[in-house]
Amino acid sequence: MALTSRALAFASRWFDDATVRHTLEPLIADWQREWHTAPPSRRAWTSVRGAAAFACAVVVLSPRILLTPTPRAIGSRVMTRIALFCLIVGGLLSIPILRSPDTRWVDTPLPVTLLLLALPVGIVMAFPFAMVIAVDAIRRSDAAANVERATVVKLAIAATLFMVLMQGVIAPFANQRWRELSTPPGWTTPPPSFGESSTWALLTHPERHTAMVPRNYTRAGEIRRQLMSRMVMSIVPALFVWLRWTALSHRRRFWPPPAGLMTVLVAVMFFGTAVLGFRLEYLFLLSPGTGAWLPVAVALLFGVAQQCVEPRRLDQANPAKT
Amino acid sequence: MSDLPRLSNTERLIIELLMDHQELFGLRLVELSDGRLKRGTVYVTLGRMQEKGYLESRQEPLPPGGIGLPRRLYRPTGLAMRILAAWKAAEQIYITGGNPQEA
Repeated sequence: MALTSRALAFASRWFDDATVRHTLEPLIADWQREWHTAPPSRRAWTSVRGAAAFACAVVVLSPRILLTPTPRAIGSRVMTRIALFCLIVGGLLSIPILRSPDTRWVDTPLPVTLLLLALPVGIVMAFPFAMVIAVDAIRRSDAAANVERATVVKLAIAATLFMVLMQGVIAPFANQRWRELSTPPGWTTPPPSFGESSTWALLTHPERHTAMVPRNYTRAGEIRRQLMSRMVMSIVPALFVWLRWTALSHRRRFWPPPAGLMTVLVAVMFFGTAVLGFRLEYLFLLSPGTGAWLPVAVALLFGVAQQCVEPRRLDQANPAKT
Repeated sequence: MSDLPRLSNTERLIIELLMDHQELFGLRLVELSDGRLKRGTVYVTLGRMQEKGYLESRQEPLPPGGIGLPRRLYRPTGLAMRILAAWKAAEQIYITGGNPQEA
């Protein structure tokens, strides 16, 4: 019965040996026996009931995935890679901000501009793309398949939360603080614009539900665009984790490329489709911010297409890892 | 004196069913429970009870020509039976207000 074999393989990939042996194997064994003893006309129904029971058990057991301890070596390797990537790429992305006429015109010390304006923006831009090398650090470990998967799930959740916090609170607050410090004495500090407003402030903004006119600037449209963009940037780290994981699980002759090249490809794809999405939004009179979802849609399609390709099992010793 | 281990209603039902029938597999427990045990969660409870030492299990030998995984048969341990007896006694005392003559 192929369905139960797949269920057992799924269980082995996601749960520890004890959970598989004591909880999921007995469920599958009873399911198999019920199927074999059922008359042919009842077998489809038996399959559905067994699959529903298995799905229910997996949902009930899913907290165990998050509670699976991550080996210290993997955790520190992942953190180091992400930190280095963000510092280097975020630092490089900070240079145009530091050299722009807007920041050079004001009299704020360079370290203040770097810490409060350039680095937060650079880190927000760089962080999602660090996920590719982070997944490689997990995947190239000697840990059991379920430990690797648990670590990847935790990475995706932590990355999403980090982006929500960074974009929604830390970066807007730091940017506004920079504007306050950059205001010459005697001048009025500019109030936070939408980019310097927290996500909560945008969600509760009184003008959020006012009229929007396609192809025209409206404050409601700008709020919506800002919110959509933040939502997309919060999702993309998890999406990139999934894309890289899927790519590593479905190896072909020239696929997946090394992590560095894959990061560049992902960045090109992301920014290319983001620009295209913005153009399409303008051309087809879509509501503001809709175009920001195009990179997500393309990445999802790409990930699904990767999964449709028959995996080549490279790790024969431990097929559960593939 | 150590605290009396907790016993949920589901755990209690499973121990009672197993005490009545000696040894059962998960799906049979669901059938015998008249809908009180659910197929999607009974195995999780059985696994947890095994970890607590309330149940022990063995794999049923496959019948001749049988394929697939062998089923797992569960039976209660002495610990589970003692805990159940203790809870029943405690309930009795609670109902009768501590006077066993009223039982």
